Amino acid sequence: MKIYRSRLHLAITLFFIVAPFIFLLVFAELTEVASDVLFGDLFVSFLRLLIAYSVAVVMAWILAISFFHGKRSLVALPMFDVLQSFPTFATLPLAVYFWGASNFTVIFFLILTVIWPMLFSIISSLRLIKQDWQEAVEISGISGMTYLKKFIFPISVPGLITGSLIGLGEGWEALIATEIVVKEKVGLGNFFQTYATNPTITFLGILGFLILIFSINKLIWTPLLDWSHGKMDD
Amino acid sequence: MESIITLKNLSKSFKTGNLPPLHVLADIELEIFKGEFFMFLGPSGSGKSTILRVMSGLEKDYKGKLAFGQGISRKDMSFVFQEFALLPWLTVAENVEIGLLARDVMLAERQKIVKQELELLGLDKFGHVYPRELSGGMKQRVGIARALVTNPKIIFLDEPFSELDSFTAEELRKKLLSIWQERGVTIIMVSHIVEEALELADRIAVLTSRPSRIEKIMINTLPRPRQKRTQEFFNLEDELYRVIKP
Repeated sequence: MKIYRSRLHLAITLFFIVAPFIFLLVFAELTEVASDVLFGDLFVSFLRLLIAYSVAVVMAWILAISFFHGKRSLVALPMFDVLQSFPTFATLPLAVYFWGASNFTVIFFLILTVIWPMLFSIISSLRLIKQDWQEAVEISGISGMTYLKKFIFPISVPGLITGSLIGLGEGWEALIATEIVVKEKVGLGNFFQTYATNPTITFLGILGFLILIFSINKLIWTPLLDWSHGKMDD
Repeated sequence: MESIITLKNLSKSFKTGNLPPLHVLADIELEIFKGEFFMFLGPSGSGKSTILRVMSGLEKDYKGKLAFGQGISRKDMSFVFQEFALLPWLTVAENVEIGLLARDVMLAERQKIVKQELELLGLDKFGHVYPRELSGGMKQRVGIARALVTNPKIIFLDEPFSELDSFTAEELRKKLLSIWQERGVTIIMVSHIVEEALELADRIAVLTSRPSRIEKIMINTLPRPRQKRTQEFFNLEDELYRVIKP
C-alpha cells in the first residue's frame, strides 16, 4: 500500500509528528519550565487517557452489539440516553472522598466521559446494516466469533472511529478538569494548576496542547475515518 | 421423481402498525423436484420473492406447511440476491469463502474450493479486489460463486440478472445453465421476464397479482439448448403472456 502520495505529503506528515514536540521544547525553554516536568506531566496524562479509552472502547463495543437492535434496544437505548446525560462530575467530590486522589478516580471519570459518544456512534453504525447483507450472512450460516469478526466488527468500525474522535476530544477536557479537582501531583491538570497565575504559560500551554491534538487528529484519526468509510462503499 | 420441497396451503401476510394486513401469498400448493430448474414468473408485487424467501428460511413467519426432501437441511441451500448483497469490506475471495467458514472447512481446503469457483466464474484474477471495484456483471458472478462454494443441493435465485445489461445477463444465463447441468443441483429462480423463464426453466409457475396464487404451472419441454427464434418458443411465449395478468 502506498501511504505517501508525494514528497510534499511525506513532508507534511513529518511536520505533524515533530511540530508538537518542537513547540513544547521551545515553550519549555522560553518559560523556563523544566522540560522533563512538562513532558512527564504530558506522558502521565496521556497514559491515563489511553487506559480509560481502552477500557471504554471495549465496554462501548460490547454494549453496542448487545443492545443495538430488537426488543432489548427499546429498553436499553432510552436508558443509555438518560445515563449519558447524568451529571457525572457532580459526584466527583464524593468519589475523591471515598477513593482518594488516585489514578483510579481520574481514570474512572474519564471512562464515564469517553464511553457515551463511542457507544452511540457504534450503535448508529450498526443500525445502518443493510437487510441484504444481513440476509447474505444468514444464508451463509456463520455464527459466533466468525459472525462477530467478519460481520459485526467491520460494520462497527466507522462508528468506533467517529466515537473515538468525539470521545477523546471530550476526554482531554475531562482529564485536565478531573486532575485539577482531584489535585493529582503529576499530569496536565497539575501543570495548569501550578501556573494558574501566569497567563503566558497557561495560554502557550493550551496552544501546545492544541497543536498536539491537531497532529494526532491529522496523523491518526482522519486517515482512519477516511479508510473506514471507504471500506463500506458498495 | 423425488420431491425436494413441498408447499401446502402456504400463506403469508405482512402486518404494519394499525393498517390492515397485506395478504401476499394465499394457499400456495406446490411440489418441486430434485434436480429440476423451477421458475416463478409474475408481475411486480406478485409475491415471487416472498415465496423464495419463505422456502430459503429468510422469511420465518408464514402459515401452512413447508417440507424438505429427505436429508435436506438449511445448510444445503444457498441464495443469489438481485442486488448481489456482497459485503463491501471483504475481498471477492473472502466474500466467496464465507459459507465455508460456517462449515468449519480447513484453510487449505477453503482456498482450493474458492480458487476453483472463482476460476469457473472467470474471477480468478479478481480474488483480492473489493466489490466496489467490479462491474454489476462481475459482482453477480461473485454472488453465484458464493452460492456454489458450499456445494448446495438447492440454489435460490431472486431475479439475479435484472440489474445487469442484456449482454451480460445472456452470458450469465448460459453459465448458470451449464452449472446446473454439470452439478445436478436444484435451481429455484424468480423472474419477471417471460423469455428468460422459457430459456432456462423445466417448469414455470405463473403467479397472479396479490394475494398471489399459482395461476398455472407450465411444463417447458423445449429441447436444450433452447433456440429463442423458433415457432415453438414463440408459441409458448404467447401462451405465458396470455396467462400473466398484471
